[in-house]
Amino acid sequence: MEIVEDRQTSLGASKRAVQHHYDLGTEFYAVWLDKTRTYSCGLWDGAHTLQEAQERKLDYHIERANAAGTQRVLDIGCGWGSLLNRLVDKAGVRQAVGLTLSDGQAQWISARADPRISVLVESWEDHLPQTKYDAIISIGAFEHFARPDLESAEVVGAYRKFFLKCHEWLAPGAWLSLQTIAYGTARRKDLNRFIVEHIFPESDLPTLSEIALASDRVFEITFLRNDRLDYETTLKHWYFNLRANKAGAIELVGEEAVANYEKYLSLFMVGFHTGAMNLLRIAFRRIDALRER
Amino acid sequence: MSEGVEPIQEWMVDYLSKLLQISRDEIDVSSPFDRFGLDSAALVGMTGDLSDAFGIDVDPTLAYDYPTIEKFAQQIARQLPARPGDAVKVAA
Repeated sequence: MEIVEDRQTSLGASKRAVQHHYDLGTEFYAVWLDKTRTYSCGLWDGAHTLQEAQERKLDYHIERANAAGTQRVLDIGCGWGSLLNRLVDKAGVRQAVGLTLSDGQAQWISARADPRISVLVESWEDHLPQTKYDAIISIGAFEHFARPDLESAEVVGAYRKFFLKCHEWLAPGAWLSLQTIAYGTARRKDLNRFIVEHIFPESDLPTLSEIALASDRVFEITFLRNDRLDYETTLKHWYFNLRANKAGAIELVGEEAVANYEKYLSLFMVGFHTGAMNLLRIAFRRIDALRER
Repeated sequence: MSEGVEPIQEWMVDYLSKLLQISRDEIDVSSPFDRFGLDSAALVGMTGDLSDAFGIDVDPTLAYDYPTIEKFAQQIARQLPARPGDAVKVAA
């Protein structure tokens, strides 16, 4: 088990900005997330509980990335490690490597002391693997890969850099499975200032067309689904979990932080309900013979 | 008006008159929320405050599916415990 500090980030949100959101305290998130502490949209196809929906989502990405039974899998934005655990415990993966910008999340994963799991506190931009990966999965991290002050061409450039890095790190013919929130009918100017300033500082959402453009001729998109209503359902569970355990949550982080989270979860629920935001799950296959760019 | 709707409707008219600083008479319960200039933060704020006041769980997206005071209150009333004679109590 190793923890490595990051050197720098460039076009995406800084480590400080990401920590602003995720390092409020592991115990606080445990109050309203499911037992696996998975902080991203579940897959509700027939699932009855939040945990079931989260596990279905993890299994879905493992399947789409063809990760089961492989040697090495990279999880970009590994959160509290639910996918890393699933990869080694259920999918027979020998080595699962997670990247996060949150010290708290890395410490949580390290505490498991599982030799099959490594966690690095570094940006994907600084990642320098010695060996190729057999699959890459990234759930709920892409939202932080471009800062809001970038011009449209720079945004696509930042995302393209990500896809080129994944291409470089993957073995021939391997797969990448990505899950991200994307703009639907809304654009940045339509987002509530509260969300922009307090919840996700220094981050902007992608559009589907930016993702398509950025991955063009590097990866082929083989499967795409928009599950925005699954995110509404997931958020609903988180919101009512938080409200049901409000007193305990206030003890952990204070009244203002809890009120801010209630507001954020509500506004996101509305965003997915109305289609202002989408939830994309996209499977990509590495194009091995790259043409001249 | 079915049982349970009135106290909710009254609470909402009172809430919005204070929030918007207008008289209760100016609030038409059949007008869409966006007519009052309420943005998404104001709507989810109202839903949360109403949940606290009545001690019930109200979905924050409800105001988007039932976009007037009248329709919203009717929908909430359907969620309330339906024991005959029970009055809806508003938390202090």
